[in-house]
Amino acid sequence: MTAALLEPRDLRLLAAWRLNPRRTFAGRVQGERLTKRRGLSIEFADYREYVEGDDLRHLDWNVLARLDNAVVKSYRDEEDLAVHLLIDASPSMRFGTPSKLFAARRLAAALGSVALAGGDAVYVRVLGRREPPQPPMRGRPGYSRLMRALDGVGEEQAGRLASSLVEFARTEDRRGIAVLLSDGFDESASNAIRVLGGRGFELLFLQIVADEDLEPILEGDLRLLDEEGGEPVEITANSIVLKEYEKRLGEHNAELQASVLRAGGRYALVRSRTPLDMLIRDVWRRDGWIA
Amino acid sequence: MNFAAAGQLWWLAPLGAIIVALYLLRMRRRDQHVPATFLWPRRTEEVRANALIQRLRFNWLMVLQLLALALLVLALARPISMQRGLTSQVTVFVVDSGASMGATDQKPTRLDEAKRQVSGAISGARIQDRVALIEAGSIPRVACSLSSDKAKLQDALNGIAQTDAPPKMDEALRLAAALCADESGARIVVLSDGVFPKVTDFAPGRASVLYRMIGSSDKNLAIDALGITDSGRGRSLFCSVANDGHAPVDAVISIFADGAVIDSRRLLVAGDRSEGFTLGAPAAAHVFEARLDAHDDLAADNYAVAVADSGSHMRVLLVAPAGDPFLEKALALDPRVTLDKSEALPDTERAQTNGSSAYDLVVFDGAPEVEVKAPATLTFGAPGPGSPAIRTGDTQKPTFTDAEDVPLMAGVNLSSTFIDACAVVKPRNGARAVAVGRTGDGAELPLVLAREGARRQLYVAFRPGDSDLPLQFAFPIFISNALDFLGGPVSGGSLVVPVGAPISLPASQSVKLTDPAGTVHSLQPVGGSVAIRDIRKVGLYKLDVDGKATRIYATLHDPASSHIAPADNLSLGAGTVTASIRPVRTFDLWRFGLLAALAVLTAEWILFARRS
Repeated sequence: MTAALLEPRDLRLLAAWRLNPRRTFAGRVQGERLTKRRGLSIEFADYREYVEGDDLRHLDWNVLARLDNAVVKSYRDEEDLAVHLLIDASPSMRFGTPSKLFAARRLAAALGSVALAGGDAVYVRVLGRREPPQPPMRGRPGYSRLMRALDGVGEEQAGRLASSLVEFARTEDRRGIAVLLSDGFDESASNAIRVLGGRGFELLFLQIVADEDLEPILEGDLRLLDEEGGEPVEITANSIVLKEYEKRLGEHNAELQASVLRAGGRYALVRSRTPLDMLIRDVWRRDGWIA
Repeated sequence: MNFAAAGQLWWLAPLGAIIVALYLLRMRRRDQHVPATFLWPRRTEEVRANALIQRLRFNWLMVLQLLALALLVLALARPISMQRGLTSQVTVFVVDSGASMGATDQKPTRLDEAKRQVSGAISGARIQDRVALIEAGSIPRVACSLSSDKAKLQDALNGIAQTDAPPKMDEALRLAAALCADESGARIVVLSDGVFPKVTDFAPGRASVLYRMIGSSDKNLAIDALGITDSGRGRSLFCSVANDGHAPVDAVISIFADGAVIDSRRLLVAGDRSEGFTLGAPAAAHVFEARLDAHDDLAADNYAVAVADSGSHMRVLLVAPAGDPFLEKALALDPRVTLDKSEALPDTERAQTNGSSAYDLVVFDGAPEVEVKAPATLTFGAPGPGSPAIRTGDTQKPTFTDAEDVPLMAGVNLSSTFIDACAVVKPRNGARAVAVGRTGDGAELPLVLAREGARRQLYVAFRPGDSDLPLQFAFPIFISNALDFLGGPVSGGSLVVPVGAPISLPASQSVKLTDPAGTVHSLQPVGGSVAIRDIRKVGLYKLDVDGKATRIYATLHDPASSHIAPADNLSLGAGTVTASIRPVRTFDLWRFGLLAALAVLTAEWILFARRS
């Protein structure tokens, strides 16, 4: 399964890159990411008035000599970054060739690899699945765990995307990057994205769609059955209806994108059959997802 | 707008209900799994229905189908619009060209007025209208069959000419009905003054009949009688003039004897009355003509002729219990003959009864000859007590051997005649055999016996029906010769015939006919006789038949034609047709309904194709 998700060539392509978050987040262990917390790191952050008890080694003697004012230097600490890989495993993700779920697992593996290589803490979360919190994966040892975790991701019959996202936002106390890999086929997904952003997560949303989602090949008089339990819809699949569907899909996707951007995140719409190298080149690098 | 078949509109309700019911049925749809349904519009087009009932929803397809159905049913109901005009989609104009249509109360004549109206109708006809023209004269003819070619119709209309003969409207109407028998919505338009006998044997079929009355006046004088009487005190001539109108009319009448005026007088004839007079006539004259110079509207009946020759006109009674159409036809073809038929001799014609005979000749065909008051008899088959022959027996299949060279047998060759059964006779006193044959055992047998005396008698030993003589050229020639013999010689070769009546004369070679206008026609004989069918105007026709000159005087002696008051109603067949002042023409709209339905169905199909 691992080999199917990422080829050695893919790993070589990803090896030089690191996730490039727009914001900084507090870490739990020292890592390679700068944090807002002032600390003892070597990277200068600011000056402050000297108070009794401060370490005299950080007193700026040059300022004291010139201005007769005792100030101490403060430094930004370097901590690890939490990267949450949120994989939508709802029934709608089984559509497409390859399936949208497979594409989600593969992209999660790619971004997870990049995060592990950057020393970040990677959490794999299958939306809709109820499971106890798992310890983060870090460093090279975490790579094999990541792959095992992704191999275990299958189609879930659990709740819908929006409710799963909201639940994640409310229960996860460690802020960081939330990488959402989903087709976004939920009417309330935009609201859930806003909740996620409001909780301090930086959202990277990869909306994975199948070809038949964008250009459905339907004909005749049909009763459409919702894979995720929605109301059946009766249609006559003619050019008018198909155009109306495409219009609605475009509006829905635009709303998702707007929600993500308002929350300070990043958004990309990719087809499930899009090659990884093309995605790296044309999306992640171009739009600054990785650096 | 009216409907020719309004009952068809009832189809709209059940068929419309069926279409609506089909849309009430719920569509059975194929299940299709999709990632999410919230992106799909709830838009269904009911193009097929085959399941349970559902709520009726607005649907353009249903609206278009109902509209198409409504248009189809509308077309089926044959909508028609009413417009003023003589023509319809199919119109047969029957133009009366009979004698009374020569009346001048419409200028120049009634016929010209009728032609003017038809011409206007032809000019105003729509391009898809078809029109036919029938000339209702003495010999009705189709002047132009159904056509949309207006130039051709106008030419044919111009070719319709006045005749002084009574029209044969019954034949003309039957021709018209036959012309449009297969046409729906056809119209027969009769342009006439209605001066013709009641038409009994006519059914217009699906066509409607419209009567356009021509004429307005009844002002007409006619010579209703011109006769000659020879008595011991000399010859006298009787003439009568009738006024068929309601107003008195004065006129000058002139009498001619062999072309010379012998009398001329002024007459004032009161309305619906006759004025007659008698005058002495020169005994040596043969042809007497009367000409009326009157201020009336019809000139054709202002001329009459009487011929003093005894054989110039013959009233013939045919007594034939079994009937013989060949003999009837041969007698009727002779212009001198006025034929009556009877299965038995009327008692009033027997010799023993009082009074004079109404006939100049009695023909016995199959009935035994009896003594009659008439001055001449022609007997076929069974002789009687007064016959020129005495019957002695019967024989079969005799053969002709010889005939005398007499005018009676001129042009008659019986050598090839097959006679199946024949009476064996011998001549009575005074009788002579003009044709003889031979029986099977070689005995001589008189075939034709003639006797002249106080009465002229001719006896033929076999009936025409027992031989093939009627099928030969010799038969009409023999009958004509027999009439010459029995009626006496025709002095000067003069005949008086009713105008328009076809006549037939024996002739062996081409005949020259000079009509009253001086035009010379050449007529070719067929089957030993020449038929003259074109006596259309009153007056003198000169014939040159085998070098012998014959003068034919055509006159209109028809009281019905002289009564020129136009008739408001026509009695045609079982119905009556009233003159229409502002005739209405119908315009069939069903084709437009059908085209509209097709257009709607096309739109419905396009919509269906786009939505499917």
